[in-house]
Amino acid sequence: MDKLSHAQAELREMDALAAEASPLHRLHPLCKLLITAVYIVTLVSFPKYALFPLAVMALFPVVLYQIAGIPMRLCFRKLRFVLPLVCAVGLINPFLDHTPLFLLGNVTVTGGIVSMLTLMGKGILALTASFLLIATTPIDSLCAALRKLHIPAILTTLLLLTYRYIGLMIEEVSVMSQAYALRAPGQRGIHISAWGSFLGQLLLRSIDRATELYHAMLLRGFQGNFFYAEVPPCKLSGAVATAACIAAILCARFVDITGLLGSLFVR
Amino acid sequence: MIEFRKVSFSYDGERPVVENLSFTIEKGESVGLIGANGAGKSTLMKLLLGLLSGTGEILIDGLPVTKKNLPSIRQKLGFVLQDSDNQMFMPTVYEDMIFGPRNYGLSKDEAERRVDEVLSQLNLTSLKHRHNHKLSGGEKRMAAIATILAMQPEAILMDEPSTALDPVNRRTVIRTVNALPQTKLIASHDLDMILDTCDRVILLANGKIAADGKADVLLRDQALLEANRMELPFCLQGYHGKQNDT
Amino acid sequence: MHMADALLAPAVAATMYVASGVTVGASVRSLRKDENTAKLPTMAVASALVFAGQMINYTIPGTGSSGHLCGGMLLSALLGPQAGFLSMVVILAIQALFFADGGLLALGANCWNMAFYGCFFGYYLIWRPILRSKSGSRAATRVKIILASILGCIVTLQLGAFSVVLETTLSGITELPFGAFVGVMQPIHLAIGLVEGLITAVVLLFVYEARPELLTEVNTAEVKNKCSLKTTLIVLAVAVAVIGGGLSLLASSNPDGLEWSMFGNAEAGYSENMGLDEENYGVSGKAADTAAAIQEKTALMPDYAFANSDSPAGTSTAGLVGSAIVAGTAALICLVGGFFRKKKRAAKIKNS
Repeated sequence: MDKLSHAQAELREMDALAAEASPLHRLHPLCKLLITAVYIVTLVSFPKYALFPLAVMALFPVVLYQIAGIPMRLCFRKLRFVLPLVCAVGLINPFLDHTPLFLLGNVTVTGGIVSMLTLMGKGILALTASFLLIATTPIDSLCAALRKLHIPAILTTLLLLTYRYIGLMIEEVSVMSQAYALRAPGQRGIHISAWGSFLGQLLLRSIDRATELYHAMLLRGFQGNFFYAEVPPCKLSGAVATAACIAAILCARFVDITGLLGSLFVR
Repeated sequence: MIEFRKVSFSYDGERPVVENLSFTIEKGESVGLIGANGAGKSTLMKLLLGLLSGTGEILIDGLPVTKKNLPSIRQKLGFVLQDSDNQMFMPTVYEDMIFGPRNYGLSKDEAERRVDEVLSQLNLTSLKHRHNHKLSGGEKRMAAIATILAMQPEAILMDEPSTALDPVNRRTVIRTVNALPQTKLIASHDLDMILDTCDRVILLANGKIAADGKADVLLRDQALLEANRMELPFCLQGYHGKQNDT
Repeated sequence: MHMADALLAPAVAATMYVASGVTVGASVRSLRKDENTAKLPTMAVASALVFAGQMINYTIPGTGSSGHLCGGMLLSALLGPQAGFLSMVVILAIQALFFADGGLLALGANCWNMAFYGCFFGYYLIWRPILRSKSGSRAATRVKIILASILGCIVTLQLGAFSVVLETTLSGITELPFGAFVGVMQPIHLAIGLVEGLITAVVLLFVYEARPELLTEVNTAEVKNKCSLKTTLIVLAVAVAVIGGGLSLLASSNPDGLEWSMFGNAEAGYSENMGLDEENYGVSGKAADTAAAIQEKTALMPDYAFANSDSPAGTSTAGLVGSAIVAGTAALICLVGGFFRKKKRAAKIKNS
């Protein structure tokens, strides 16, 4: 099934990206988490007509991707699945909001169009930011950062354990759907007669796997605690860079940089 | 080191999976546990580890396997699972290897020292910070053995250690197993590997011991093996080309 | 039903984060009290499987389309509501992180819409009452499983879809009127819920036939601790209070905010209505003032009227030019970065 192999490839790709080395990869995960959170919150807080001020926000991912050594097109490949959803809601705006905002040549640009573009811009930029976070931070470092934030250990451990077994489960599901497809040529999915048994079989097998897994834990003295490697503490330079980054993000929010920049030329 | 005294077990209360088993394994012995599918090999292992409890008595170093003794018994026994993925549940090899030692109260530094020791002993130092889900099949099996060795067990139990390995990886595992001084109990259908790693073989059939003796003798007994749904190890068969059974 | 970051105002997203966070906290507490460490691996493996299982296409007979699995009901029927909820949270987090399904900011809202209703509402108000009702025959249990799964999926999806509409409207990002949005979302999710319910039902039936002990509430012989219901009620109450409080705060900080959203009034500017606290307000006001001042000075196209002259888009010309400069800079940075990457790669190949 195409979706499954796609997901597999995607996970592998993200793993490979996160394993590379760059200043951004080396930055403490907590710093990256903080920058990403501030960035996304700032981003969505832009007013709905603030298309031009929003443009400055695009500089952050652009610069950070270059620092991380990750080509942006990798991220844009993902957009094709997500953008339709953002657009579906935004596309209505031009039809409902006819407030004229300004003229572009002879064409009156309405509020609906601007708000739609702003919405799409926010959607794209938010995505680039979260992609960058996970492309430069392995999930175990991210969970270490979450533990530092006192997120309950059950949740972070569950996240790591689930992530550990996702690849295996996708593998099992895709092997089984290939076996199904080979014996059911011309069918696009699972026929209704096999709905229950298909996933049911996998589910039972997974429960057995979980039992065995639990035994493996018990046999090594498991009493409810997990022990993780420690993330090296944040360096001063990292903290300074993080602070600078956050300051710049906030500055971009509250100062209309594009407007000021443009007014230097248009007078 | 390991002693079974009239041990019986049944999942459903009717059909026994293991019946009236009695045997002893001395310290330092390497014992192969063979038998057809469903003969009771896995059940025997689980009884030994206290994952199942039946009737009769099992002693490890004179200590009976009871709920109270489980922590100290499990510290003495290291179990290498058949599916390394089930054994290696932490994100990285290092974190998996400290899991056992830390649970048994070792400090961070002590655990780390043990990890480094075991990894260099097995020539696996390069795997230390690798992610478990990105290891190859052979690396995973070796790392699984390393996680068990990091606990410094007195006896090592292995369930099908050679399945799904290519010949080179299989040979590496065999060499590694042979280099271990601990008491070993290895359950497998790979009789060639048993021959390569074990001095003694226990043959199970329908939950009972069908034979117990020197590996070299027992694994040459074609009639006995075939009566128990097995065949001679390939290295003892001689090569006859592709066979057409008529 | 995954919501993207762009659809949510920060205040709404924060409110939903608090609501989901409280539920996570309560679930973690109740699991800790259980001290059943065996549950953790089962939760992990089951959520990994559900994650993968959601990518299977189930062909719907007679139509060209296909349905998917509803995770919340299935997981809470297998693991109980608290463990099911945490598993769903983890699934949603991984989807957001690795597959860009729903954003990081929207994670709180997505957990609420897709995990909370399915796990708690579906479990305590549908699954448990139906499965517990007396009449013990196997056939009756089968019917009950089907009924509970379908009803549960439909109801919880309706609630989820409604929440999506509510959250989007309150965020004021889209111009789509509340009524129209509801009119689109609810019927679609009725159909989706029906199919998802059917799939969940047959999977659970299969489990019931093969290993009935895996399903919660099916073996009525076991005594259930009442405490879990109590914690859930508390969670519900707290969550309702938090959400209600958060939303009313939003509404009261701007008296006609809620009304504005509800009736889809497109006139008012978004920033004046939603999501910005007093402090930010002041600053952005200043920014807008400067912008307006700049715009006055840059009267290049003086003969048309701005609708909201104090809105940030008022600086359109300068903004447009500025944006073009920014875009140029961005492209340049990308080009330079790409050039260096290529060089590095070439050097690497040369060295090896």
